[in-house]
Amino acid sequence: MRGSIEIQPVIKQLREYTNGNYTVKIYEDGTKIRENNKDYFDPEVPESLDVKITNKCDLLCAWCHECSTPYGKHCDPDTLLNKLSTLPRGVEIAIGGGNPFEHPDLSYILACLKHFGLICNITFNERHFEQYSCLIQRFIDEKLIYGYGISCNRSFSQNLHEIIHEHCSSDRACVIPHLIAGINTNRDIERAITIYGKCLILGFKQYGRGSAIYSSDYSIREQITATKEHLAKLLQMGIVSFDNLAIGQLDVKNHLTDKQWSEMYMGDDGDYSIYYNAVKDYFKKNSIASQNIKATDAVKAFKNIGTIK
Amino acid sequence: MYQIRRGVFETNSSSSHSITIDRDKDNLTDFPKGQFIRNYPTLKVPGVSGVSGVSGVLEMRGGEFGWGVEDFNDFETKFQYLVTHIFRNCTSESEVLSRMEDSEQFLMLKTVIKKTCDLEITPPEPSAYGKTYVGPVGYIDHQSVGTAFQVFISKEILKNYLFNKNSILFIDNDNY
Repeated sequence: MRGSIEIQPVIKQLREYTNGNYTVKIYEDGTKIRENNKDYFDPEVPESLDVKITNKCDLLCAWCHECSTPYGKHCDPDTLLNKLSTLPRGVEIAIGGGNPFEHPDLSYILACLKHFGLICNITFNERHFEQYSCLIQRFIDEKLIYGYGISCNRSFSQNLHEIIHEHCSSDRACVIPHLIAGINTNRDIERAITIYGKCLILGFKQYGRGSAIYSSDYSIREQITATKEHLAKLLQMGIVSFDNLAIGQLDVKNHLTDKQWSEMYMGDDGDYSIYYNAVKDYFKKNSIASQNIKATDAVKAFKNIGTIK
Repeated sequence: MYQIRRGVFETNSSSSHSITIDRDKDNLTDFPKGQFIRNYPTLKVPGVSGVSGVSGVLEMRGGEFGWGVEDFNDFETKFQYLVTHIFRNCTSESEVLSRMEDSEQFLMLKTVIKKTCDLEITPPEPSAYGKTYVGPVGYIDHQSVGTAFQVFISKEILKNYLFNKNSILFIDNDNY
């Protein structure tokens, strides 16, 4: 008779930093912990920035709230880097667009942000994966990118996971499918959770091209209602994240106890995260907020957004 | 104050991952003190209610390991396996208490559990001797005795063995 023990690799801590009156720890699987011995958090800098680096994209999705087009402009890389250079090591940068791979200086931008000690993540559409798989592989190998958000289309591809494994050594990459309430069906969401073990559900933005399609396509409202009614089952299937818009549209809070909510709710837009449109060089509390903020850097923008909330 | 976003990086292109719900808490990278019981509501901890307990004790009971072909990834079985390993040669209560003072492996186990989930490890009540598996009736097959040493290489490895559901204790036999 014999016994043996198999020990999984420890999830390593990537970064730890002090932000105002608390500490932030980030682990290599994306887990983030805020902690202090007080009953409130008082941040001095944003923990994350959602950064739009280009408005160029060839997909022309009917619901794109950024109104990206094949003729969209790119940001100036040096202006972007200057704005983000004052952030402390460990802050997360969510790179998006448009199609961020269209930006000719993407590699340079990522290399500089890595040099700053920032943790870069990127979001792109699943239909662009194969075209840019070699570039993605290089980003993984060089640890330029940690998290990969993949926007899933209306007809969610079951083969994407296999394609990712075929093209990339994705064991070091953290992939999370993005699905939109009202666009993706419950079946799409279930498939995503089954394949990846997790997903991010975004609220439907009645903004940009999303405004027109919401008015003309009544099925979006019906689908949001269907997802709301199906939510309890989805939450049992794996890790499910929501943005603030989806929290409201799907009544997520109703599925949680007060204790769970206080531990897992990461705050309103603008409390710990801000949006930076690097193409037009302004900040907002999120991508659909009405008020633009001009600031010399992201830390000052975060403080300004805090004062106007 | 303590808040956690589990298992995802911030990838949203418009606003933050505002909440991340993971019903399966077994793969946590860390536990806030006092919340261990809530994360393991099925853990049978004497004297502590299943949900609201913020501190408590973890009783050593040991177990019989070596006769079956089984895999375990739950905390309690993996913990009791180590207890049986550490106290396998004890023949009396006094020996158990003495080893609790002297054994470096037990002190490491005690430290990791206290730091991770704020529980104290307690010996069995004296009246429980003969009814529990700790002490003379605790059993690890002789070919498996060395197996547990590897988890005591560091506190980090020990913590990962105990609290990561993907760390598995395999009990096998060579009778086939």
